[in-house]
Amino acid sequence: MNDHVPTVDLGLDHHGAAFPTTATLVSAVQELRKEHSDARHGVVLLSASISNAAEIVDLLGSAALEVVTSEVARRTLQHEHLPARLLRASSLGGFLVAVVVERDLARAQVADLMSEVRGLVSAADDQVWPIITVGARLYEEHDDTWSAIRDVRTAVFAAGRHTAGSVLWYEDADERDRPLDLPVIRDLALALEHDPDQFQLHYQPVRDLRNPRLLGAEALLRWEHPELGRISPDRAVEAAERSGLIVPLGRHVLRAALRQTAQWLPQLEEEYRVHVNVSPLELRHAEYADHLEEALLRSGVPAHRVLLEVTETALVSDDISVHHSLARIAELGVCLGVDDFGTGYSSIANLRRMPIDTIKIDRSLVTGIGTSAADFTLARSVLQLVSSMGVMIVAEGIESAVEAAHLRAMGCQVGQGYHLGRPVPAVDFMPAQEHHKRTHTA
Amino acid sequence: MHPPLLVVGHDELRLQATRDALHYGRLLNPVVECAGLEELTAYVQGQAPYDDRATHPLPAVVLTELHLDRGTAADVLRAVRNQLTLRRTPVIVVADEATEQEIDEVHRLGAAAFLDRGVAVDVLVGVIRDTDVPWAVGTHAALRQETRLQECVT
Repeated sequence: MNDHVPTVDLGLDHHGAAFPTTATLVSAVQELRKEHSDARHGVVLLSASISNAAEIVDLLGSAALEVVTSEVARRTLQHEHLPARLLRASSLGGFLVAVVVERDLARAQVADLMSEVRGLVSAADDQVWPIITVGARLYEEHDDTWSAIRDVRTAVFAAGRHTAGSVLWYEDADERDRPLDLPVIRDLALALEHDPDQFQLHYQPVRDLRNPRLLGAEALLRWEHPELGRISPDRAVEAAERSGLIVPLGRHVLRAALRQTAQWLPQLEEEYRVHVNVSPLELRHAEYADHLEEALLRSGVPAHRVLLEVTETALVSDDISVHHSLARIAELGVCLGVDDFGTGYSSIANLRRMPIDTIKIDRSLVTGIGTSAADFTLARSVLQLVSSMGVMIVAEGIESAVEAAHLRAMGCQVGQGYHLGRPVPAVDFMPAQEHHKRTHTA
Repeated sequence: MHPPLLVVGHDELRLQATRDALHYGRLLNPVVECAGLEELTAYVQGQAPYDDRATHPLPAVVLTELHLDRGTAADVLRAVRNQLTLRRTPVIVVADEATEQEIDEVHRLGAAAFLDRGVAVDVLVGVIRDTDVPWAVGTHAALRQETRLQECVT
Protein backbone atom coordinates (compact mmCIF):
# COMPACT_ATOMS: atom_id res chain seq x y z
CA MET A 1 0.00 0.00 0.00
CA ASN A 2 1.46 3.32 -1.00
CA ASP A 3 0.90 5.81 1.78
CA HIS A 4 2.29 8.68 -0.20
CA VAL A 5 -0.53 9.65 -2.44
CA PRO A 6 0.34 13.16 -3.51
CA THR A 7 -1.99 15.83 -2.22
CA VAL A 8 -2.46 19.22 -3.76
CA ASP A 9 -2.24 22.74 -2.49
CA LEU A 10 -5.28 23.43 -0.37
CA GLY A 11 -5.57 27.07 -1.24
CA LEU A 12 -8.96 27.50 -2.77
CA ASP A 13 -8.68 29.34 -6.00
CA HIS A 14 -11.74 30.86 -7.65
CA HIS A 15 -10.40 29.76 -10.98
CA GLY A 16 -9.73 26.28 -9.80
CA ALA A 17 -6.03 26.59 -10.64
CA ALA A 18 -5.03 24.41 -7.71
CA PHE A 19 -7.10 21.47 -8.88
CA PRO A 20 -7.23 19.32 -11.95
CA THR A 21 -8.99 21.04 -14.81
CA THR A 22 -12.04 19.42 -16.34
CA ALA A 23 -9.83 17.89 -18.97
CA THR A 24 -7.39 16.42 -16.50
CA LEU A 25 -9.89 15.43 -13.83
CA VAL A 26 -10.75 12.18 -15.56
CA SER A 27 -7.15 11.18 -16.03
CA ALA A 28 -6.33 12.13 -12.43
CA VAL A 29 -9.10 9.91 -11.09
CA GLN A 30 -8.23 7.09 -13.43
CA GLU A 31 -4.58 7.30 -12.48
CA LEU A 32 -5.47 7.07 -8.82
CA ARG A 33 -7.65 4.06 -9.46
CA LYS A 34 -4.89 2.38 -11.43
CA GLU A 35 -2.34 2.96 -8.69
CA HIS A 36 -4.43 2.02 -5.70
CA SER A 37 -7.26 -0.26 -6.69
CA ASP A 38 -6.62 -3.95 -6.14
CA ALA A 39 -8.34 -6.94 -4.56
CA ARG A 40 -7.94 -5.49 -1.08
CA HIS A 41 -8.11 -1.77 -1.69
CA GLY A 42 -10.48 0.41 -3.58
CA VAL A 43 -10.93 4.06 -4.41
CA VAL A 44 -13.95 5.84 -2.99
CA LEU A 45 -15.13 9.13 -4.42
CA LEU A 46 -16.48 11.50 -1.81
CA SER A 47 -18.42 14.58 -2.72
CA ALA A 48 -18.68 16.81 0.33
CA SER A 49 -20.85 19.83 0.77
CA ILE A 50 -20.99 22.37 3.58
CA SER A 51 -24.75 22.34 4.05
CA ASN A 52 -24.81 25.51 6.13
CA ALA A 53 -22.66 27.41 3.60
CA ALA A 54 -25.35 30.04 2.99
CA GLU A 55 -25.64 30.81 6.69
CA ILE A 56 -21.86 31.02 7.06
CA VAL A 57 -21.68 33.50 4.20
CA ASP A 58 -24.59 35.52 5.57
CA LEU A 59 -23.09 35.79 9.03
CA LEU A 60 -19.35 35.84 8.41
CA GLY A 61 -18.84 36.54 4.73
CA SER A 62 -17.67 34.51 1.78
CA ALA A 63 -14.02 34.56 2.89
CA ALA A 64 -15.05 32.69 6.03
CA LEU A 65 -16.72 30.02 3.93
CA GLU A 66 -13.51 29.57 1.96
CA VAL A 67 -11.57 29.18 5.18
CA VAL A 68 -14.08 26.63 6.47
CA THR A 69 -14.07 24.67 3.23
CA SER A 70 -10.29 24.68 3.08
CA GLU A 71 -10.01 23.47 6.63
CA VAL A 72 -12.52 20.67 6.13
CA ALA A 73 -10.74 19.59 2.95
CA ARG A 74 -7.38 19.76 4.71
CA ARG A 75 -8.59 17.52 7.51
CA THR A 76 -9.91 15.07 4.96
CA LEU A 77 -6.63 14.94 3.09
CA GLN A 78 -4.45 14.70 6.14
CA HIS A 79 -6.13 11.71 7.68
CA GLU A 80 -3.55 9.54 9.35
CA HIS A 81 -4.41 6.27 7.62
CA LEU A 82 -6.43 7.02 4.53
CA PRO A 83 -4.53 8.39 1.55
CA ALA A 84 -6.62 10.91 -0.33
CA ARG A 85 -6.44 13.28 -3.23
CA LEU A 86 -8.42 16.45 -3.66
CA LEU A 87 -9.96 16.60 -7.11
CA ARG A 88 -12.14 19.65 -7.06
CA ALA A 89 -13.17 22.36 -4.63
CA SER A 90 -15.68 25.11 -4.84
CA SER A 91 -15.71 28.45 -3.16
CA LEU A 92 -19.41 27.80 -2.58
CA GLY A 93 -18.55 25.22 0.05
CA GLY A 94 -17.93 21.83 -1.47
CA PHE A 95 -15.20 19.55 -2.70
CA LEU A 96 -14.62 16.26 -4.43
CA VAL A 97 -12.02 13.93 -3.04
CA ALA A 98 -10.79 10.42 -3.80
CA VAL A 99 -9.86 8.26 -0.83
CA VAL A 100 -8.16 4.88 -0.83
CA VAL A 101 -9.86 2.46 1.54
CA GLU A 102 -9.84 -1.21 2.36
CA ARG A 103 -12.72 -2.72 0.46
CA ASP A 104 -14.10 -4.76 3.36
CA LEU A 105 -14.01 -1.75 5.65
CA ALA A 106 -14.97 0.94 3.14
CA ARG A 107 -18.08 2.18 4.90
CA ALA A 108 -16.57 2.09 8.36
CA GLN A 109 -13.41 3.84 7.21
CA VAL A 110 -15.34 6.59 5.45
CA ALA A 111 -17.51 7.01 8.54
CA ASP A 112 -14.38 7.24 10.72
CA LEU A 113 -12.82 9.73 8.34
CA MET A 114 -15.82 12.00 8.42
CA SER A 115 -16.20 11.80 12.17
CA GLU A 116 -12.60 12.99 12.48
CA VAL A 117 -13.13 15.75 9.93
CA ARG A 118 -16.16 17.15 11.68
CA GLY A 119 -15.36 19.80 14.24
CA LEU A 120 -15.38 23.50 14.91
CA VAL A 121 -13.41 25.66 12.51
CA SER A 122 -11.98 29.07 13.36
CA ALA A 123 -12.95 31.65 10.79
CA ALA A 124 -13.46 35.41 10.81
CA ASP A 125 -12.62 35.65 14.50
CA ASP A 126 -15.36 33.23 15.30
CA GLN A 127 -15.98 29.52 15.61
CA VAL A 128 -18.04 27.78 12.97
CA TRP A 129 -19.57 24.31 13.05
CA PRO A 130 -19.68 23.20 9.41
CA ILE A 131 -22.48 20.78 8.59
CA ILE A 132 -20.65 18.41 6.28
CA THR A 133 -22.88 16.34 4.04
CA VAL A 134 -21.22 13.64 1.99
CA GLY A 135 -22.08 11.47 -0.97
CA ALA A 136 -19.93 8.38 -1.46
CA ARG A 137 -19.38 5.79 -4.13
CA LEU A 138 -16.81 3.10 -4.75
CA TYR A 139 -15.05 3.81 -8.02
CA GLU A 140 -14.35 0.44 -9.68
CA GLU A 141 -12.16 -0.47 -12.58
CA HIS A 142 -15.01 -0.90 -15.03
CA ASP A 143 -16.82 2.28 -13.97
CA ASP A 144 -17.21 5.19 -16.33
CA THR A 145 -15.51 8.10 -14.61
CA TRP A 146 -18.08 10.77 -15.39
CA SER A 147 -20.89 8.48 -14.34
CA ALA A 148 -19.14 7.84 -11.06
CA ILE A 149 -18.67 11.57 -10.46
CA ARG A 150 -22.30 12.22 -11.41
CA ASP A 151 -23.45 9.46 -9.04
CA VAL A 152 -21.52 10.78 -6.11
CA ARG A 153 -22.93 14.25 -6.71
CA THR A 154 -26.41 12.75 -6.89
CA ALA A 155 -25.76 11.09 -3.54
CA VAL A 156 -24.61 14.29 -1.86
CA PHE A 157 -27.65 16.19 -3.11
CA ALA A 158 -29.90 13.39 -1.90
CA ALA A 159 -28.19 13.34 1.48
CA GLY A 160 -28.61 17.11 1.71
CA ARG A 161 -32.32 16.84 0.99
CA HIS A 162 -32.96 14.09 3.50
CA THR A 163 -30.37 14.26 6.27
CA ALA A 164 -27.92 17.12 6.11
CA GLY A 165 -24.69 16.24 7.87
CA SER A 166 -24.82 12.56 6.95
CA VAL A 167 -22.87 10.29 4.63
CA LEU A 168 -25.00 8.71 1.91
CA TRP A 169 -23.65 5.99 -0.34
CA TYR A 170 -24.92 6.22 -3.87
CA GLU A 171 -26.33 2.70 -3.86
CA ASP A 172 -28.45 3.62 -0.83
CA ALA A 173 -29.90 6.71 -2.48
CA ASP A 174 -33.59 6.53 -3.21
CA GLU A 175 -34.55 5.95 -6.83
CA ARG A 176 -36.20 9.32 -6.78
CA ASP A 177 -32.91 10.97 -6.04
CA ARG A 178 -31.34 9.58 -9.19
CA PRO A 179 -30.90 11.89 -12.15
CA LEU A 180 -33.95 12.61 -14.26
CA ASP A 181 -34.51 10.36 -17.24
CA LEU A 182 -34.66 13.34 -19.60
CA PRO A 183 -35.07 11.49 -22.92
CA VAL A 184 -37.92 9.41 -21.52
CA ILE A 185 -39.60 12.51 -20.10
CA ARG A 186 -39.30 14.26 -23.47
CA ASP A 187 -40.80 11.28 -25.29
CA LEU A 188 -43.53 10.96 -22.70
CA ALA A 189 -44.50 14.58 -23.21
CA LEU A 190 -44.42 14.20 -26.98
CA ALA A 191 -46.56 11.08 -26.86
CA LEU A 192 -49.13 12.66 -24.55
CA GLU A 193 -49.40 15.68 -26.78
CA HIS A 194 -49.17 14.21 -30.26
CA ASP A 195 -49.56 10.44 -30.17
CA PRO A 196 -51.47 9.17 -27.12
CA ASP A 197 -52.07 5.87 -28.89
CA GLN A 198 -48.58 4.93 -27.77
CA PHE A 199 -50.25 4.34 -24.40
CA GLN A 200 -52.41 1.27 -24.23
CA LEU A 201 -54.23 -0.27 -21.33
CA HIS A 202 -54.03 -3.95 -20.62
CA TYR A 203 -56.55 -5.52 -18.30
CA GLN A 204 -55.88 -8.15 -15.66
CA PRO A 205 -58.87 -9.95 -14.17
CA VAL A 206 -59.75 -9.87 -10.49
CA ARG A 207 -61.59 -13.05 -9.58
CA ASP A 208 -63.55 -14.75 -6.90
CA LEU A 209 -61.27 -17.50 -5.63
CA ARG A 210 -64.22 -19.78 -4.97
CA ASN A 211 -65.65 -19.83 -8.49
CA PRO A 212 -64.88 -18.46 -11.94
CA ARG A 213 -66.75 -15.22 -11.33
CA LEU A 214 -65.11 -12.11 -12.70
CA LEU A 215 -65.23 -9.36 -10.09
CA GLY A 216 -63.22 -6.74 -11.88
CA ALA A 217 -60.13 -5.91 -13.86
CA GLU A 218 -57.15 -3.74 -13.18
CA ALA A 219 -56.23 -1.36 -15.99
CA LEU A 220 -52.47 -1.48 -16.44
CA LEU A 221 -50.52 1.05 -18.48
CA ARG A 222 -48.39 -0.15 -21.37
CA TRP A 223 -46.25 2.29 -23.33
CA GLU A 224 -45.09 1.23 -26.76
CA HIS A 225 -42.31 3.63 -27.67
CA PRO A 226 -41.99 3.93 -31.47
CA GLU A 227 -38.21 3.38 -31.33
CA LEU A 228 -37.41 1.82 -27.99
CA GLY A 229 -40.30 -0.64 -27.94
CA ARG A 230 -42.09 -1.28 -24.67
CA ILE A 231 -41.00 0.97 -21.83
CA SER A 232 -41.47 -0.66 -18.44
CA PRO A 233 -44.47 0.72 -16.57
CA ASP A 234 -42.31 1.47 -13.52
CA ARG A 235 -39.92 3.57 -15.61
CA ALA A 236 -42.75 5.37 -17.38
CA VAL A 237 -44.65 6.15 -14.19
CA GLU A 238 -41.50 7.22 -12.37
CA ALA A 239 -40.58 9.58 -15.22
CA ALA A 240 -44.15 10.90 -15.26
CA GLU A 241 -44.20 11.46 -11.50
CA ARG A 242 -40.87 13.22 -11.45
CA SER A 243 -41.76 15.50 -14.33
CA GLY A 244 -45.32 16.41 -13.41
CA LEU A 245 -46.58 14.57 -16.49
CA ILE A 246 -48.34 12.12 -14.19
CA VAL A 247 -51.35 14.43 -14.13
CA PRO A 248 -52.08 14.38 -17.89
CA LEU A 249 -51.01 10.73 -18.07
CA GLY A 250 -53.33 9.81 -15.20
CA ARG A 251 -56.22 11.61 -16.86
CA HIS A 252 -55.54 9.80 -20.10
CA VAL A 253 -55.52 6.44 -18.34
CA LEU A 254 -58.68 7.17 -16.38
CA ARG A 255 -60.63 8.29 -19.45
CA ALA A 256 -59.46 5.32 -21.50
CA ALA A 257 -60.33 2.84 -18.74
CA LEU A 258 -63.79 4.34 -18.27
CA ARG A 259 -64.44 4.43 -22.01
CA GLN A 260 -63.56 0.75 -22.25
CA THR A 261 -65.58 -0.17 -19.18
CA ALA A 262 -68.63 1.59 -20.62
CA GLN A 263 -68.38 -0.66 -23.67
CA TRP A 264 -68.10 -3.82 -21.60
CA LEU A 265 -70.67 -3.02 -18.91
CA PRO A 266 -73.70 -4.58 -20.63
CA GLN A 267 -71.87 -7.92 -20.72
CA LEU A 268 -70.59 -7.78 -17.16
CA GLU A 269 -72.07 -8.79 -13.86
CA GLU A 270 -73.20 -6.22 -11.33
CA GLU A 271 -70.21 -6.69 -9.03
CA TYR A 272 -67.64 -5.92 -11.74
CA ARG A 273 -65.43 -2.91 -11.05
CA VAL A 274 -62.62 -1.42 -13.06
CA HIS A 275 -59.49 -0.83 -10.98
CA VAL A 276 -57.48 2.23 -11.92
CA ASN A 277 -54.20 3.20 -10.28
CA VAL A 278 -53.86 6.74 -9.03
CA SER A 279 -50.61 8.42 -8.10
CA PRO A 280 -50.50 10.33 -4.84
CA LEU A 281 -49.19 13.24 -6.89
CA GLU A 282 -52.47 13.35 -8.81
CA LEU A 283 -54.39 13.49 -5.57
CA ARG A 284 -52.47 16.58 -4.53
CA HIS A 285 -54.20 18.49 -7.30
CA ALA A 286 -57.35 20.03 -5.93
CA GLU A 287 -59.15 19.55 -9.24
CA TYR A 288 -58.54 15.78 -9.38
CA ALA A 289 -62.01 14.89 -8.12
CA ASP A 290 -63.61 17.34 -10.57
CA HIS A 291 -61.86 15.63 -13.45
CA LEU A 292 -62.94 12.26 -12.10
CA GLU A 293 -66.54 13.40 -11.92
CA GLU A 294 -66.41 14.77 -15.44
CA ALA A 295 -64.85 11.54 -16.76
CA LEU A 296 -67.58 9.49 -15.07
CA LEU A 297 -70.32 11.65 -16.58
CA ARG A 298 -68.75 11.55 -19.99
CA SER A 299 -68.36 7.75 -19.98
CA GLY A 300 -71.67 6.93 -18.32
CA VAL A 301 -69.97 4.45 -15.98
CA PRO A 302 -71.63 4.48 -12.55
CA ALA A 303 -69.28 5.66 -9.83
CA HIS A 304 -69.57 2.45 -7.81
CA ARG A 305 -68.17 0.47 -10.73
CA VAL A 306 -64.84 2.24 -10.36
CA LEU A 307 -62.17 1.39 -7.81
CA LEU A 308 -59.27 3.80 -7.54
CA GLU A 309 -56.15 2.11 -6.21
CA VAL A 310 -53.92 4.26 -4.07
CA THR A 311 -50.73 3.22 -2.33
CA GLU A 312 -50.47 3.08 1.44
CA THR A 313 -47.97 5.93 1.33
CA ALA A 314 -50.55 8.23 -0.27
CA LEU A 315 -53.12 7.37 2.35
CA VAL A 316 -50.86 8.14 5.27
CA SER A 317 -49.77 11.41 3.68
CA ASP A 318 -50.05 14.51 5.81
CA ASP A 319 -50.86 16.51 2.71
CA ILE A 320 -54.24 18.10 3.32
CA SER A 321 -54.95 18.32 -0.42
CA VAL A 322 -54.64 14.52 -0.67
CA HIS A 323 -57.18 14.09 2.10
CA HIS A 324 -59.56 16.52 0.41
CA SER A 325 -59.30 14.58 -2.82
CA LEU A 326 -59.92 11.27 -1.04
CA ALA A 327 -62.98 12.67 0.70
CA ARG A 328 -64.37 14.06 -2.56
CA ILE A 329 -63.76 10.75 -4.34
CA ALA A 330 -65.71 8.96 -1.62
CA GLU A 331 -68.51 11.54 -1.90
CA LEU A 332 -68.78 10.80 -5.60
CA GLY A 333 -69.42 7.16 -4.72
CA VAL A 334 -66.21 5.94 -6.31
CA CYS A 335 -64.58 3.08 -4.39
CA LEU A 336 -61.13 3.50 -2.92
CA GLY A 337 -58.65 0.70 -2.51
CA VAL A 338 -55.23 0.41 -0.88
CA ASP A 339 -52.73 -0.99 -3.34
CA ASP A 340 -49.64 -3.06 -2.44
CA PHE A 341 -50.71 -3.38 1.20
CA GLY A 342 -47.90 -4.77 3.30
CA THR A 343 -45.08 -2.88 1.60
CA GLY A 344 -45.66 0.49 3.21
CA TYR A 345 -45.96 1.62 6.75
CA SER A 346 -49.59 2.43 7.27
CA SER A 347 -51.24 1.28 10.45
CA ILE A 348 -54.60 -0.41 10.64
CA ALA A 349 -55.73 2.43 12.89
CA ASN A 350 -54.85 4.92 10.15
CA LEU A 351 -56.61 2.92 7.47
CA ARG A 352 -59.75 2.64 9.54
CA ARG A 353 -60.13 6.40 9.33
CA MET A 354 -59.92 6.35 5.54
CA PRO A 355 -62.94 5.92 3.27
CA ILE A 356 -61.57 2.69 1.78
CA ASP A 357 -63.49 -0.43 0.90
CA THR A 358 -60.80 -2.66 -0.58
CA ILE A 359 -57.30 -3.68 0.43
CA LYS A 360 -55.01 -5.36 -2.05
CA ILE A 361 -52.44 -7.53 -0.33
CA ASP A 362 -49.08 -7.12 -2.01
CA ARG A 363 -47.62 -10.00 -3.97
CA SER A 364 -44.61 -10.14 -1.66
CA LEU A 365 -46.90 -11.49 1.04
CA VAL A 366 -48.38 -14.07 -1.32
CA THR A 367 -45.18 -15.39 -2.85
CA GLY A 368 -44.10 -18.36 -0.80
CA ILE A 369 -47.41 -19.27 0.81
CA GLY A 370 -47.59 -22.37 -1.40
CA THR A 371 -44.39 -23.84 -0.04
CA SER A 372 -43.45 -22.13 3.20
CA ALA A 373 -45.33 -22.58 6.45
CA ALA A 374 -43.75 -19.37 7.79
CA ASP A 375 -44.95 -17.38 4.78
CA PHE A 376 -48.36 -19.01 5.05
CA THR A 377 -48.61 -18.05 8.71
CA LEU A 378 -47.48 -14.48 8.06
CA ALA A 379 -49.98 -14.00 5.23
CA ARG A 380 -52.73 -15.53 7.36
CA SER A 381 -51.96 -13.16 10.21
CA VAL A 382 -52.05 -10.15 7.90
CA LEU A 383 -55.34 -11.29 6.41
CA GLN A 384 -56.87 -11.78 9.83
CA LEU A 385 -55.73 -8.31 10.85
CA VAL A 386 -57.11 -6.69 7.72
CA SER A 387 -60.34 -8.66 7.74
CA SER A 388 -61.21 -6.98 11.03
CA MET A 389 -61.72 -3.79 8.99
CA GLY A 390 -64.64 -5.24 7.10
CA VAL A 391 -63.23 -4.40 3.68
CA MET A 392 -62.88 -6.53 0.58
CA ILE A 393 -59.47 -8.18 0.53
CA VAL A 394 -57.81 -8.92 -2.80
CA ALA A 395 -54.63 -11.00 -2.86
CA GLU A 396 -52.25 -9.95 -5.62
CA GLY A 397 -49.61 -11.97 -7.42
CA ILE A 398 -51.27 -15.40 -7.27
CA GLU A 399 -49.22 -17.59 -9.57
CA SER A 400 -50.35 -21.14 -8.82
CA ALA A 401 -53.41 -23.19 -7.96
CA VAL A 402 -51.83 -24.09 -4.61
CA GLU A 403 -51.34 -20.41 -3.71
CA ALA A 404 -54.97 -19.76 -4.62
CA ALA A 405 -56.08 -22.75 -2.54
CA HIS A 406 -54.02 -21.65 0.43
CA LEU A 407 -55.48 -18.16 0.26
CA ARG A 408 -58.93 -19.70 0.31
CA ALA A 409 -57.90 -21.75 3.31
CA MET A 410 -56.98 -18.47 5.03
CA GLY A 411 -60.38 -17.02 4.24
CA CYS A 412 -59.32 -14.77 1.36
CA GLN A 413 -61.99 -14.79 -1.31
CA VAL A 414 -60.75 -12.54 -4.07
CA GLY A 415 -57.51 -12.64 -6.01
CA GLN A 416 -55.49 -11.45 -8.93
CA GLY A 417 -52.40 -12.87 -10.59
CA TYR A 418 -51.05 -14.83 -13.51
CA HIS A 419 -52.77 -17.99 -12.29
CA LEU A 420 -56.14 -16.28 -12.52
CA GLY A 421 -55.41 -14.40 -15.72
CA ARG A 422 -52.58 -12.42 -17.24
CA PRO A 423 -52.99 -8.80 -18.29
CA VAL A 424 -54.19 -8.70 -21.89
CA PRO A 425 -55.05 -5.94 -24.36
CA ALA A 426 -58.65 -4.76 -24.24
CA VAL A 427 -59.49 -6.56 -27.45
CA ASP A 428 -58.53 -9.92 -25.95
CA PHE A 429 -60.03 -9.41 -22.52
CA MET A 430 -63.61 -10.54 -22.97
CA PRO A 431 -62.72 -13.62 -25.07
CA ALA A 432 -60.19 -14.59 -22.38
CA GLN A 433 -62.90 -14.36 -19.72
CA GLU A 434 -65.24 -16.56 -21.74
CA HIS A 435 -62.48 -19.11 -22.13
CA HIS A 436 -61.71 -19.06 -18.40
CA LYS A 437 -65.37 -19.52 -17.55
CA ARG A 438 -65.69 -22.50 -19.88
CA THR A 439 -62.58 -24.23 -18.57
CA HIS A 440 -63.39 -23.66 -14.90
CA THR A 441 -67.04 -24.59 -14.84
CA ALA A 442 -67.88 -28.18 -14.09
CA MET B 1 -66.09 -35.52 25.13
CA HIS B 2 -64.95 -33.58 22.12
CA PRO B 3 -65.88 -34.96 18.73
CA PRO B 4 -62.88 -36.48 16.94
CA LEU B 5 -60.82 -35.32 14.02
CA LEU B 6 -61.08 -38.05 11.44
CA VAL B 7 -57.83 -38.49 9.55
CA VAL B 8 -58.00 -40.46 6.31
CA GLY B 9 -54.73 -41.78 4.94
CA HIS B 10 -52.54 -44.80 4.65
CA ASP B 11 -49.12 -43.47 5.50
CA GLU B 12 -48.31 -44.09 9.17
CA LEU B 13 -45.54 -41.47 9.31
CA ARG B 14 -47.82 -38.80 7.95
CA LEU B 15 -50.56 -39.79 10.34
CA GLN B 16 -48.12 -39.49 13.20
CA ALA B 17 -47.03 -36.05 11.98
CA THR B 18 -50.67 -34.99 11.91
CA ARG B 19 -51.28 -36.34 15.40
CA ASP B 20 -48.21 -34.45 16.61
CA ALA B 21 -49.35 -31.24 14.94
CA LEU B 22 -52.75 -31.43 16.58
CA HIS B 23 -51.13 -32.22 19.91
CA TYR B 24 -48.69 -29.30 19.71
CA GLY B 25 -51.53 -27.10 18.50
CA ARG B 26 -53.21 -27.96 21.81
CA LEU B 27 -56.31 -29.39 20.24
CA LEU B 28 -58.13 -31.59 22.71
CA ASN B 29 -60.13 -33.46 20.13
CA PRO B 30 -59.16 -37.10 19.81
CA VAL B 31 -57.70 -38.21 16.49
CA VAL B 32 -59.37 -41.13 14.79
CA GLU B 33 -57.67 -42.73 11.85
CA CYS B 34 -59.16 -44.41 8.82
CA ALA B 35 -56.66 -46.08 6.51
CA GLY B 36 -58.79 -45.73 3.41
CA LEU B 37 -62.06 -44.90 1.76
CA GLU B 38 -63.89 -48.08 2.79
CA GLU B 39 -63.06 -47.59 6.45
CA LEU B 40 -64.06 -43.93 6.25
CA THR B 41 -67.37 -44.84 4.63
CA ALA B 42 -68.08 -47.40 7.33
CA TYR B 43 -67.23 -44.87 10.04
CA VAL B 44 -69.43 -42.06 8.77
CA GLN B 45 -72.30 -44.43 8.03
CA GLY B 46 -72.05 -45.99 11.47
CA GLN B 47 -71.42 -49.47 10.16
CA ALA B 48 -69.57 -52.15 12.11
CA PRO B 49 -67.13 -51.90 13.70
CA TYR B 50 -68.13 -48.22 14.10
CA ASP B 51 -71.79 -48.74 14.86
CA ASP B 52 -71.63 -47.47 18.42
CA ARG B 53 -71.80 -43.67 18.27
CA ALA B 54 -70.94 -43.41 21.93
CA THR B 55 -67.48 -44.79 21.25
CA HIS B 56 -67.28 -43.61 17.62
CA PRO B 57 -68.86 -40.15 17.57
CA LEU B 58 -69.28 -38.22 14.37
CA PRO B 59 -66.21 -36.17 13.51
CA ALA B 60 -65.84 -32.41 13.95
CA VAL B 61 -63.36 -32.20 11.09
CA VAL B 62 -62.22 -34.64 8.41
CA LEU B 63 -58.65 -34.48 7.19
CA THR B 64 -57.83 -36.51 4.12
CA GLU B 65 -55.04 -37.23 1.72
CA LEU B 66 -55.83 -36.22 -1.85
CA HIS B 67 -54.59 -39.51 -3.23
CA LEU B 68 -55.57 -42.65 -1.35
CA ASP B 69 -54.70 -46.25 -2.13
CA ARG B 70 -58.17 -46.74 -3.52
CA GLY B 71 -59.91 -43.51 -4.32
CA THR B 72 -59.28 -39.84 -3.85
CA ALA B 73 -60.30 -36.98 -1.59
CA ALA B 74 -63.20 -36.40 -3.96
CA ASP B 75 -64.58 -39.81 -2.95
CA VAL B 76 -64.08 -38.96 0.71
CA LEU B 77 -65.97 -35.71 0.20
CA ARG B 78 -68.85 -37.52 -1.49
CA ALA B 79 -69.00 -40.10 1.28
CA VAL B 80 -69.03 -37.42 3.97
CA ARG B 81 -71.52 -35.18 2.20
CA ASN B 82 -73.86 -38.13 1.67
CA GLN B 83 -74.44 -38.13 5.41
CA LEU B 84 -77.02 -35.48 6.20
CA THR B 85 -75.50 -34.81 9.60
CA LEU B 86 -72.07 -34.25 8.07
CA ARG B 87 -73.13 -31.85 5.31
CA ARG B 88 -71.39 -28.95 7.04
CA THR B 89 -68.45 -30.81 8.52
CA PRO B 90 -65.22 -29.24 7.29
CA VAL B 91 -63.10 -31.52 5.11
CA ILE B 92 -59.48 -30.52 4.70
CA VAL B 93 -57.47 -32.04 1.86
CA VAL B 94 -53.70 -32.48 1.95
CA ALA B 95 -51.47 -33.44 -0.96
CA ASP B 96 -47.87 -33.66 -2.06
CA GLU B 97 -48.85 -32.52 -5.47
CA ALA B 98 -52.08 -31.76 -7.23
CA THR B 99 -53.28 -30.48 -10.55
CA GLU B 100 -55.41 -27.38 -10.81
CA GLN B 101 -58.31 -29.61 -11.82
CA GLU B 102 -57.95 -31.78 -8.73
CA ILE B 103 -57.87 -28.73 -6.48
CA ASP B 104 -60.89 -27.26 -8.27
CA GLU B 105 -62.75 -30.55 -7.91
CA VAL B 106 -62.28 -30.89 -4.16
CA HIS B 107 -63.33 -27.29 -3.69
CA ARG B 108 -66.40 -27.83 -5.85
CA LEU B 109 -67.28 -30.81 -3.71
CA GLY B 110 -67.11 -28.62 -0.64
CA ALA B 111 -63.62 -29.02 0.79
CA ALA B 112 -63.04 -26.38 3.45
CA ALA B 113 -59.39 -26.14 2.54
CA PHE B 114 -56.70 -27.63 0.34
CA LEU B 115 -53.19 -27.62 1.78
CA ASP B 116 -49.88 -28.56 0.27
CA ARG B 117 -48.14 -31.09 2.47
CA GLY B 118 -45.09 -28.84 2.71
CA VAL B 119 -47.00 -26.43 4.90
CA ALA B 120 -49.89 -28.59 6.14
CA VAL B 121 -48.47 -29.88 9.41
CA ASP B 122 -47.39 -26.44 10.55
CA VAL B 123 -50.55 -24.57 9.61
CA LEU B 124 -53.14 -27.26 10.12
CA VAL B 125 -54.36 -26.22 13.55
CA GLY B 126 -54.77 -22.60 12.44
CA VAL B 127 -56.76 -23.66 9.41
CA ILE B 128 -58.94 -25.96 11.50
CA ARG B 129 -59.61 -23.08 13.86
CA ASP B 130 -60.60 -20.94 10.87
CA THR B 131 -63.28 -23.42 9.85
CA ASP B 132 -66.79 -22.87 11.05
CA VAL B 133 -66.66 -25.36 13.89
CA PRO B 134 -65.10 -23.54 16.81
CA TRP B 135 -67.71 -25.08 19.08
CA ALA B 136 -66.47 -28.50 18.14
CA VAL B 137 -62.75 -28.11 18.54
CA GLY B 138 -61.34 -27.57 21.98
CA THR B 139 -58.02 -26.38 23.26
CA HIS B 140 -56.27 -26.83 26.57
CA ALA B 141 -56.61 -23.10 27.15
CA ALA B 142 -60.35 -23.26 26.54
CA LEU B 143 -60.60 -26.24 28.86
CA ARG B 144 -58.77 -24.36 31.61
CA GLN B 145 -61.12 -21.42 31.15
CA GLU B 146 -64.14 -23.68 31.34
CA THR B 147 -62.80 -25.23 34.54
CA ARG B 148 -62.21 -21.79 36.07
CA LEU B 149 -65.72 -20.72 35.17
CA GLN B 150 -67.16 -23.83 36.74
CA GLU B 151 -65.12 -23.20 39.87
CA CYS B 152 -66.47 -19.66 40.03
CA VAL B 153 -70.03 -20.86 39.64
CA THR B 154 -69.69 -23.53 42.28
